[in-house]
Amino acid sequence: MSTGAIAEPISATRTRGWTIFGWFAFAFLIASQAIAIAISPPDRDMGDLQKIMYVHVPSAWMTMLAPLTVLVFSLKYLWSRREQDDLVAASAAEVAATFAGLTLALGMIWARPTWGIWWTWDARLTSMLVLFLILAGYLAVRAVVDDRDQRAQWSAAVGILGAINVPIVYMSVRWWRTLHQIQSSPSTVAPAYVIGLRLNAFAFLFVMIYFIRRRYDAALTLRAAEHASESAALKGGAA
Amino acid sequence: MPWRDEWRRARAIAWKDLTAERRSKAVFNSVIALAITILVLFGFALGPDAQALRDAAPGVIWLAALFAGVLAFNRSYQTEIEGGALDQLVLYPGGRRAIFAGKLMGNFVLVASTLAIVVALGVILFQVDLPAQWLALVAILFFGCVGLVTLGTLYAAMASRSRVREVLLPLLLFPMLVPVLIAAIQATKSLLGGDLMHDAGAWARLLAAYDVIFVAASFLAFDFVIEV
Amino acid sequence: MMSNTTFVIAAFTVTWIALLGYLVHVRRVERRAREALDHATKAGSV
Repeated sequence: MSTGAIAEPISATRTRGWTIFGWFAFAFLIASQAIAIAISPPDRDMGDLQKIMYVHVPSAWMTMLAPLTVLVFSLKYLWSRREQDDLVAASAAEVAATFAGLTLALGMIWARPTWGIWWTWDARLTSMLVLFLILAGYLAVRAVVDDRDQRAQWSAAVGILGAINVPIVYMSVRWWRTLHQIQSSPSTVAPAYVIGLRLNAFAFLFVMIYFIRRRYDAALTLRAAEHASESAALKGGAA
Repeated sequence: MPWRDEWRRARAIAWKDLTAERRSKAVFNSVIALAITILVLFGFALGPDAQALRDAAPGVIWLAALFAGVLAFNRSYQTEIEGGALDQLVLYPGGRRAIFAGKLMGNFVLVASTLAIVVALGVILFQVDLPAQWLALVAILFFGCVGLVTLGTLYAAMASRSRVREVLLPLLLFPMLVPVLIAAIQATKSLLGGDLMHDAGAWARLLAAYDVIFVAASFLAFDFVIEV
Repeated sequence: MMSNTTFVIAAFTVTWIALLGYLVHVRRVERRAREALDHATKAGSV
């Protein structure tokens, strides 16, 4: 049902271009982190802990963007039935799961010294956990379904419904939390920190784009390998 | 009129499933038994202090219905898959919507009955007082049940045809149902406590919105899920 | 009781482990795919 079986892996020159982008992305990240740490004064209440924001917040933002990519390309796949769209969605989901896991870990590393506990049922952290589980479900579907069309269409359905649910989950968890007033996480960013945050946000964005592209290339190569072995098997059978 | 044909077909599917169930009672009995068992086990886990039980009751009731429902959802496609009838039904124009509607209605009757029994038993075992606004409670039970059953029926269409169905259905379903669980449990808790904060209405609205969104989305998604 | 600086260092360390770890993962997938492709094209041309 999918059109355009992918016979050729991605060309070598395109790969080199992206490799350069990858080096740039990571260099930019190192620079952003260094700058942010250097120029930001310690926070009045949190002290040096404030610096964790430079990795935790961008990671959280990327975890929001990636499911959006999954949504767009899942819809695109159902419309076009092009395998490439399915593979982009899947790559974005894998990257999203990585960033979700990282955001949760960083959230806990922040929570422990701030409030003395590893986990609070804080609205954002809890929603992030649910998003992580939704992504895990998506990846599970991709892992256990062997039929290519079935896998693509089921993943698309799961991805779209999951993405739609993200804001609903966040709203319901937040209402749930406001009923039981506990600590709120710092939401406003003091102007002194904005530059550092923005730099790091862009850095994370570049890294995420690079990851999705890289993962997509790998998926294309895998697909080309499957295509080649299928044709080889057919030829061998016909002989 | 194609609409009426669809509706008739959906009703026929639901009726067939429910009649088969009424005769054998296999699924119904297992689902009810599981729900009751869960209720009792939670009683042991959380009790015997009366206040602790009363506080936990709304959560336990909905979780019991959820876990028991999962059992029902996967089984609802069993007969068609075994008989190979699914491929036939899919070929009818508008047949897919009818399949989903039929399965949905069948599952709804099953889970709603389970929920009713669980509430009745829960009120007794967990020493809960029935609220004056029992009608509002019924509304919450209805909207929550719709949410559970809609996504359950959709995801079971995939899980029941995969090799790891027992694991895949909960894994896919539970995170998606977080808003339903939160809203239904909080609204139930609020109503059982006399709705002092008047927040049951807000939760009910969230549930209704969720239901509208996901009933529509599930009908659309089912087309794609069932055709491969 | 660990100082705040320890947690900050932990945070950045975990971040880099995660990012570089994922990079390693993708390259491993790529390598396996490339090997499979070479194997399959060789088999086809035999």
